[in-house]
Amino acid sequence: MNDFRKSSDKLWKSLKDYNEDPEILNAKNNEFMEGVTDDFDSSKLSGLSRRKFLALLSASAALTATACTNYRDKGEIIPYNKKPDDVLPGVANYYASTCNGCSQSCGILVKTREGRPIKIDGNPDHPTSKGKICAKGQASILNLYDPERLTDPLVLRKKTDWKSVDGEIINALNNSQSSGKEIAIVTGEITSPTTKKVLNDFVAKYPNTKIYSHSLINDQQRRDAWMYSYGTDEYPAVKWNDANIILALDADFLGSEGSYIENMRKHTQRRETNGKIDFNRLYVAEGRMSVTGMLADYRFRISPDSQYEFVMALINELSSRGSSIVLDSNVKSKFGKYSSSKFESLIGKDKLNYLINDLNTNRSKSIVYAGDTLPKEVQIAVNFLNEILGNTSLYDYANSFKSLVKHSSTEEISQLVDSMNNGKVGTVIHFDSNPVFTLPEDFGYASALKKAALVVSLSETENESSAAGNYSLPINNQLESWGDAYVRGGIYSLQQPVIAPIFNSRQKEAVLLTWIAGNSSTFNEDIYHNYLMNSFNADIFSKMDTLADAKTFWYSALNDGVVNIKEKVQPNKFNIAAFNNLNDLSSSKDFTIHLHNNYFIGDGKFANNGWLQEIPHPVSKVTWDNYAAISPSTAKNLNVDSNDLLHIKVGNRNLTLPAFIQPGLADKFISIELGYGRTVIGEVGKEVGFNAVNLMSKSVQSSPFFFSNASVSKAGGKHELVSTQEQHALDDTFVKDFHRIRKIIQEGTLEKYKKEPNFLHEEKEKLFSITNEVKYTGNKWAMAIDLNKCTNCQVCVASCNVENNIAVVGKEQVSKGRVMQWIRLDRYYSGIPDEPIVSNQPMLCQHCDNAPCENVCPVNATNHSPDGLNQMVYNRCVGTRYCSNNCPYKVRRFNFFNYRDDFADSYYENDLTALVNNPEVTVRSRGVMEKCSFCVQRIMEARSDAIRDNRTLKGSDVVTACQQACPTEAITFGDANDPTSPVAKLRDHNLSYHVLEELNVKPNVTYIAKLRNTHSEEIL
Amino acid sequence: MKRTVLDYALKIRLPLTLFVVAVSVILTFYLSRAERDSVGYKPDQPIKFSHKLHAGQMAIDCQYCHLGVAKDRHAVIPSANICMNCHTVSRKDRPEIIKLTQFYNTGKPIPWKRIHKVPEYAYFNHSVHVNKGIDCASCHGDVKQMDIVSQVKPFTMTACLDCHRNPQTQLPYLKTVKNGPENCWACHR
Amino acid sequence: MTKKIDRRSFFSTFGKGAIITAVVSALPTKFISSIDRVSKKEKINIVIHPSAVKRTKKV
Repeated sequence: MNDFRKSSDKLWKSLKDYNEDPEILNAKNNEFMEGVTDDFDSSKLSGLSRRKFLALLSASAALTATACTNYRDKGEIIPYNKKPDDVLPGVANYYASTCNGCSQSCGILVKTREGRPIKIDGNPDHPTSKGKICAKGQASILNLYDPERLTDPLVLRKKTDWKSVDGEIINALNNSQSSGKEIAIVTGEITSPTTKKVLNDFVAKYPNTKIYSHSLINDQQRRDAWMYSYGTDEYPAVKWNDANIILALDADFLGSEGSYIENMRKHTQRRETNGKIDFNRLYVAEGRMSVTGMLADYRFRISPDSQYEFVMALINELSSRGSSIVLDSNVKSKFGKYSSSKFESLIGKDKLNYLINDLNTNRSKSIVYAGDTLPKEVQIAVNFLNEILGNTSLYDYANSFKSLVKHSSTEEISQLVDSMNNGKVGTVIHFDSNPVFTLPEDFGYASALKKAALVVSLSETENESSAAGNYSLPINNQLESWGDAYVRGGIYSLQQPVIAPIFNSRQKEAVLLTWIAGNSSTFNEDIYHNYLMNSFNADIFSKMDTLADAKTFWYSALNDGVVNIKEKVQPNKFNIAAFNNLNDLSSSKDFTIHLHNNYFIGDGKFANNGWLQEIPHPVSKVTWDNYAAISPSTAKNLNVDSNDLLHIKVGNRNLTLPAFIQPGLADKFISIELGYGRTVIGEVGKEVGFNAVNLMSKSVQSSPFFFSNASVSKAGGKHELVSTQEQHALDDTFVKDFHRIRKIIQEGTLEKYKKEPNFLHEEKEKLFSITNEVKYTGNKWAMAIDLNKCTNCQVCVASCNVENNIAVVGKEQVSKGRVMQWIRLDRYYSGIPDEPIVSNQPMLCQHCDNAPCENVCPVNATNHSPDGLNQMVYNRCVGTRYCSNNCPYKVRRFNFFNYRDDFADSYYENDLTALVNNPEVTVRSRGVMEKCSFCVQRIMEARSDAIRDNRTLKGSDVVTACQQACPTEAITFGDANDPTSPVAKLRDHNLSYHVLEELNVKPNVTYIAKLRNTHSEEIL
Repeated sequence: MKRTVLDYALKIRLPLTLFVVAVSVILTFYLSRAERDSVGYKPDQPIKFSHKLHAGQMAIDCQYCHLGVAKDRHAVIPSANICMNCHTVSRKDRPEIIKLTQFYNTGKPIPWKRIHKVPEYAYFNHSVHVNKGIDCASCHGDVKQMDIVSQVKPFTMTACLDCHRNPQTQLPYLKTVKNGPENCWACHR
Repeated sequence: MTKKIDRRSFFSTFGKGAIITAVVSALPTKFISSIDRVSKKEKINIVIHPSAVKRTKKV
């Protein structure tokens, strides 16, 4: 900037300066003011100048930076110190054991890697489950790694140690004994004969002990009925595969009741479309829409309160056409007053005639089966009907359902509560049970507990009962426990621990054994192990006809997991007096409320298992909730829509929960699942669902599971139910039957197939391609899914979740459609809303040859392998999501968040739960796309084994997780280029089709069309 | 002549920028090579185990210690009890063996420094390669002559693919060998 | 001139704010706050049960 002042201008800083004061003039001449350098001593200054200091600082920082990071450092590789013989890092070990998920005690094989259990599958040697287990069993592995497991004994919620706990409780037990007070042990259903022995020993030591057995989901009605009918409470299994006609009355025998895995396998033996066609016909009469109802050839909407009259009407009709047992006039007058005309109007005259004719012509080759929730009156009537029809030849007494410890009756439990209220109970022990949650309110159990002197709970996690007590003692998870099971005749199943207890928990029987011994120091890790071995030698080995010694036999039994023992079976005669003395039940005009088992969380014990909460309900596809299912017409009458809150009142008990419009339900009928609404539970299960036990009561007229005198009204407000499928109204013209029109579901009837086996392929168009075809030599992986066998049970989903480290996303993310499961089961309705026809279809990545997703990835993260797989490379994916946009089947899942970090405040991101991950599968983080990989890790492992053994890789060497899990073997996987493989044959089947074939994406998943066994050639 | 901005930019700034960019790219490429493919990494191990002595001089087979190399994905570093098979007796007074015995007795596993590591987004399978006849030295170099093990071959994807695409020239000692898989999911699943 | 100064100060505040936001959002706050949580937990011991019998049949 130019200096615009004239050079002659003077610049002054102060008035003194302006006046040219001599002081200022002097100051201007001196460089420094006076006294500035007085204290200056150059020798005392530091040798380090500012400049030097800064230089040194930055140089040392730079040096430290480079020295600190050895950029080549790859960490350490740490071997074992003393390698266990059994373990080779990288090779999985398998152990046979038994599952404790429910009372069926299926045999399991636990897969472990480096000592950690990572997958549970069925034990192929187990005669009833034959290598399959249910979704609960598959996902129960997460319970071992539950971050909120009890790790140490707690007294009044404060940590303590076992020594003091043992001492205090032994004192309390001795005091109760000496002062004449009762010691109450409340258990769930006892499935283990050795546990029963321990309990008996406990009673022997403390004679004031009483054992109470109570479980929320039970088959007590059937056992009572069998006791009346045949004099024993052990009922036989059913040879479903020999039945031509099955009539299931409110019986979800293929979905959630009894030994349903076994039932599914046997039922689908009669739904085979390969080879000779010998279909059975399934009639289902039910109020709710269950999995079995979805599979029915003919479905009748009869609510549980009308079942008695229905069975009586059938007895009347069928006995007039012949009977295998003698019927006297007394009996005839008992059922004579029931006519079938009432049901003709309800279900249609022709359908009813079909049923009666079928049952009549298939005597001794059919079965009528009543569900667990129906009262014993109906069960006895059904037994009588089967006797008339000669169907008892289908009863399998060789593997009947045993009863080790009888369920306590309502009187016995009321007695306990009274004793507690009167101060006559010294100690209450909750032996892996949760009575505060599972007992109906009006027992008053929770408040009576406060009056008991000491309440001890033995459980894996804190629950409602342990929170109401003094001591919460951690017990071993099923994978850390010894045990056995004898729930079916002739089948003795063993349970062994595959991992030493991770925390300071103990085997629950061992805890009792310590208390029996009366001394805390008797406990060691092996006392129950030894007890079990001794019991095994005494009861099982001694009866075996074998050359091996006891020890060898024990080890071989543990290896196999199952011992088949010979048992004499003696079918009893039917006691006709049981039928004569029946109390007649009548149907009601009011609302009927039906409470029944849910599909995935048991009696509430799996409510904290994120995987199970997120598996969609087989029928409604709702996750993270239960609801009151109502039929569309009932909903219209009440003026409610889905998600509206309903107020249900039975006597003085009530419950408010959201409604869900379920097509196919009976009218004036509500079905609710039990087991939800837990309050004292980990973060995952908190406030999930509504507790329907609030509607149950200790005083019941027939069955504790349904009430006919309910009043239902619309409460205000809404509760959002989150479902993985869109819920349209069925008669919405835009979506009506779209799955049939678009040929997503192609079906036929058996009649049509018999006349024209090739009917499905008649209208097939020839598709041509404008690009060059890729030739696949070598293996070409393909899958075939038989829709005749798929029951929508979701075990494949659970198995895939465990195998592929699928993340749990939580209710809010599911509502946005971000559920991460790689395989889903679609359920389609057609027909009219009140009587829908249901179709199931598993949908997973089709690994299309002409995949529309591969062309559009900007970074080529997804492409095709030479063996036919559509590859998804996580480390290359940048998250464009164009591939998911292009996928016509919508099977690609995107990680919008790092779900392990996002779900429930990083609940599953901790050291313990990380152990459940399969080390062969990448754990995906935020921003990458994932999808079904046809279990490429298993394909690669099989390929590696084939190379090691110097043989070619065959399609049958590879078993995908879903295929391994499917109880009905609906999924077949293998090499399409091998003409002898089952999958190649299924691709050429008459009934094979591809979904959305006309898009010419050439999917490699073939579906076999479902054939319905109705009397007509058309479905609708 | 007056210098315009463009003049200045073109004649001075542009070549200077290009030069700086080129030099930094070349420098970074060569300086980071060691980090990228780790050739020459030769860390000190907690116990001075010499492959030259054990595998070379004493001719102990690789698979005696590295158990899993023909059976499964991981080659497996031997656990201390394999060393103690011999060293409970042999040379048990030497300082390194005393270190080893201390580790073994106190139950602490030996924290060996890892030298050969394929990144975690790639799943490498040892048994497939070994069972096809590939010698250990083809990837790990002549370990039998190494006192302290170092990495001699680059472990980049390029190096793997060079061999997968051309095994006949890279592994001349194999009589019949097909090309290795080139598709993504062979390794990046 | 004032316009240029205003513009300059406006953008410079924005720039500073952006840099500060970028730095703050890149800070590992969750990691730091979880050091406390992680350090409290003890090491989890995985021990194969000594009496478990491995299945030797080919599944």
